[in-house]
Formats: sequence, C-alpha cells, structure tokens
Amino acid sequence: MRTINNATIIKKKLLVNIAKILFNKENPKLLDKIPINMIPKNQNNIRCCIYKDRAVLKYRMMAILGYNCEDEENELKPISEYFNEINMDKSSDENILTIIDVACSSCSPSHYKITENCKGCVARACINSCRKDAISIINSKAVINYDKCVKCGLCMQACPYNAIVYIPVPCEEACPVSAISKDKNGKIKIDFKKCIFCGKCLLACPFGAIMEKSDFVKIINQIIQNKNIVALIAPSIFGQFKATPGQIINAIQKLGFKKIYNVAEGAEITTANEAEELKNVIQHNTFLTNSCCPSYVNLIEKHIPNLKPNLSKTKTPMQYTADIAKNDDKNCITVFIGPCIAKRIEGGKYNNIDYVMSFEELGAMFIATGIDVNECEDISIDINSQKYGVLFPISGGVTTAIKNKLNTKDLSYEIINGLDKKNISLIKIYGNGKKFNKHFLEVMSCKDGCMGGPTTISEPSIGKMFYNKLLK
Amino acid sequence: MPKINVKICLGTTCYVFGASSLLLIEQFLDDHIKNQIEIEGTPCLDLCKQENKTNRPPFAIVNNKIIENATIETIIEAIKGKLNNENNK
Repeated sequence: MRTINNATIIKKKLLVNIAKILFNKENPKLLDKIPINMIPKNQNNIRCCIYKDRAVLKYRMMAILGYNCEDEENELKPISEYFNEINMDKSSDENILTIIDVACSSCSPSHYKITENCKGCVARACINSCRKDAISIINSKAVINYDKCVKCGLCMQACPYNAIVYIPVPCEEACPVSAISKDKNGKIKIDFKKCIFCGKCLLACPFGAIMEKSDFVKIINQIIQNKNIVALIAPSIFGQFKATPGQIINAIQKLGFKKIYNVAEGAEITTANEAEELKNVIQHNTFLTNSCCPSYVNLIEKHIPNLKPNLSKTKTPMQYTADIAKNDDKNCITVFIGPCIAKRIEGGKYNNIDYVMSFEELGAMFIATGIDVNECEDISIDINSQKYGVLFPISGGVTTAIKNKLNTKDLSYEIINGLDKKNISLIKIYGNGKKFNKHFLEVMSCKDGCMGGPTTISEPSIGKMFYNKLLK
Repeated sequence: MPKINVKICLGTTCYVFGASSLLLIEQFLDDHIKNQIEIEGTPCLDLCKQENKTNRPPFAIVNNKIIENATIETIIEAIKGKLNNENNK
C-alpha cells in the first residue's frame, strides 16, 4: 500500500489553489499570496520556520507554472510575474524533473549507524559478524570505521538489541538506474543522460524536493480562452474516481474539453500492429518487447541499447490516439491525461501531442471548479468496445491483448511487473546476448502497470479493483 | 448492540486527497472489531464545503464523530473509542 505523503498533499493543495484563481479569472497577483495563505503566521511550521515553508511553496509553484526551479534569476521576482511571462509552447526539453534546492535536506550518504541502544555486550555479535574488520569497541560502545565498512548490513542483522540501523537516501534508493547523485553541498542532482523518468524518486523523497515541470497552468489558460482543446484520456482513468466511466467523461467535458478520446482506441491499433510484428518475429526465431511504456523505452535507449532491435516499432496508444484526434481536426489542441511522468517526455517529442497532464492535476481542476465526478450525469459509454485496448492499463494486459488478437495459446512470454534494480539487471542479461527463449517480453516501469503510475489518484490496489469490475 | 457505522467520503475532493487508501481499512482490523462495525463509502458529505473545515479532506464519520485529515489510524482510533464507550455503558 502506498502511504500518504504530506509532500504530495501539499502539491495537490497548491494545484487546487492556483486553479481556483485562474478558473475564476481573478487577478494573477493573488498567486503571490498563496504561500502566505497556506502557511499563515500562527500555524506550526513544518521546516525550520514558516518563511522557509513559504519559500519552498513558491518554488513548487514555479514547477507547476512550467519553470525549472533552478532557473530562478531573481529571488524577489514574484510568482505573478512568472505567470505573466509564461510561454504557451509545450515543454519539449529533457529535464522535466526539477529540484527544489532549499527543500532538499542534503541527506548524508546512505550508511549503517550504531544507535545509543548499543549496550557494548559481551557477545560482540556485530564484531563477529563483520567480515571487513570495520567495527571496534570504543568506550564500551560499538563504533563503525566507515573507511572499511562495505555496507553489507550483516552487523545490523546480528545485533541482539536492534542497535544498528540503516539510514538510506530515499531518492537514490528509489532510483532504479542510479541517475541521482549529490553535488559538493550534498544537494541532489539528476543525470538526465541516465534518468528514465519513472517518477519513483518523486514519490520517495520525504521532503518533496523533486517536482515535475508541468503544463498545468498552460492547459488552464487554453481552457479559459475557450480554445479547441481535446482530452486524450489514458484508460487507467476509469480506476481513478469512485464514479462510472460515463460520469468521468462527463466531468471532463464540463471542465471545458471539447472532445474526449479514450486512448484505448489507439491501443487497439497498437495491439494490431504489435501482433503483426510478433508474427514476423516468431518466424525469425527472435523476440519482441513492448514499446508502449515510455519509461521502459527510455531504459532500453539509455541503458540497454542491445535490446533496441527487439523493441517494437509500433507507435504507442497515446501517439495513435493523437493522430486520430488531429486527423479529425488538425487545429485541435491535444492534451494527454494520464498517470505517467515519462509520457511528458514522449509527448514533448511527438508533434501531435500538445500538452500532457497528470490525473492529480485533473483532480485538482475538478476541485477548483466545484465539479464532483460522482454527481455528474452518467453518459452511456462501454469501455469494453475497445476489447484489446481496455486491457492495457494493468500489468500483463498488453500480453493478453496481443494473445487474444493472435488468437493463439502458443505465444510464450514473460511479464516484468515494475522496474527495480533487480529486474533491470535481468533485462540487461536478456540484452547481453543471453538468449531470451520466449516470443514476447512485456515490461511495465510501474508495479501494477499504469494503474500504479506515479501520479495516480487511487491507491493502486483500489484503482485495479475498480477497473477490473468494469471489464467484461 | 447496533453496529458502529463508518462512513468514508468518496466525493471528488476527499478522493483526490487520498480517500481511496482509507478503503483498505478492513485489512487493518481484528476480526472481533470487524464484526461490530459496518463500513460504507459515501458520495460527498459536503464537509469540504463548510467554511471552518476547508482544506482538511479526506473526511470520515464514525457514528456521529467527524474525522478530518482522516487516516486509517485515526479512523481505527475513533472506532475503538466508540467501542469502549459502548462497553462501559
């Protein structure tokens, strides 16, 4: 279960407060007051003082407005000025994750620590367990010599008093591709040559120091100017609210989107084309791996290039759906709405996608405009009419869709549900010439597939339960 | 003894602020408590719209007691409180 993270709650409150001002067409100067309203004088501070709390909120707002927090030129420049200078183009650069320097707590490098629970006992289990001779007893307490320690953790397991603890760096630990390091001041840096934009660090940082650079404000601007804006909704959306698919679609229409496309429509084409590719692959005695998960595609491109020939050439469901929307009306503004952070990069590179936003951001727009999805009228819609595409949001679904499409039981496959360091080494082995002796390798970066995405609203197991109930 | 009623608000505001994870509460309850309560998810209870309560979703109600910023822990605490009251009567 995903625990509630107050840093995420604060981000959502900010989104709601910003959206309220913009949707109500109030004076943008009110944006400058948001940090003060959210952290008033008499309230208990979270960090050292309310002023630092407010400063961090300002940086979070910069990211929500689509700026890099690192690019602040002048500390006196108010948010309303950043707002007035917003460039409405979509963000297409690679650094979609931005770091709030002052929020980062500069965690010291991960290490084992001997706490005051150490009794300096006779057993000396810690010393006896250590194979590097890194522990000695000084003044009746165990002490670790960090020059010798290799962080194996055996002492922690051995101590009968649980006196040894492991102190991690949560963001580094969460990153499956070691893209996070620290600068000389201990602040984190993301190496975008390595980052696969899985979003795991965002959820892991207890200080909320990593933000996604957002199109949120740009999208609201387009909506309030009554532009021809259309929503491409990832099918995992139907697990995100306690409401029917028809109510969810109706709510998005109420928000101001002129037309709504279910990305499962594009997934129908992805299934058909990937199935065709697979026929070919089976004949040539090699294997195919899916291209629909952008974070996984980044992993292959940046870390396992040997697998590139096996990567499906088929476009993603988002891309096919965007093609359909632009074909229906070439002047429409397409907004992909999904649970994914890597889709922001994919959308940035793909011409027919204009903006990308998250489920969290959609939820904030609903709250700001007073739309209760549950109270919207139910439009009749059958999500099962895309019988293959409907399967995509949950891990294993792509494989089932292709299997059904090929109408075969003979397809051999392996499913990797969620990327972590261990899984990645396995995929690297497949890429390093160790013959993968199956036909299809399905990999989803997030555990549970898109339903477990970093910006989902529903707790993943609940989202999955709601969604599975809709499936025929 | 009438069962203790636990309402979890699933209106959009509460839901976006994390109400879905509250639906997992049964996994954290002992069987003897489970038998004495009924849990229901409800549409918006309008608590988020009251002036003095704004900004504190998700909301839950245990019998008549309103819990703001609800977590599984605070709901269980409220249930146990009600059960103790009943037993002391």
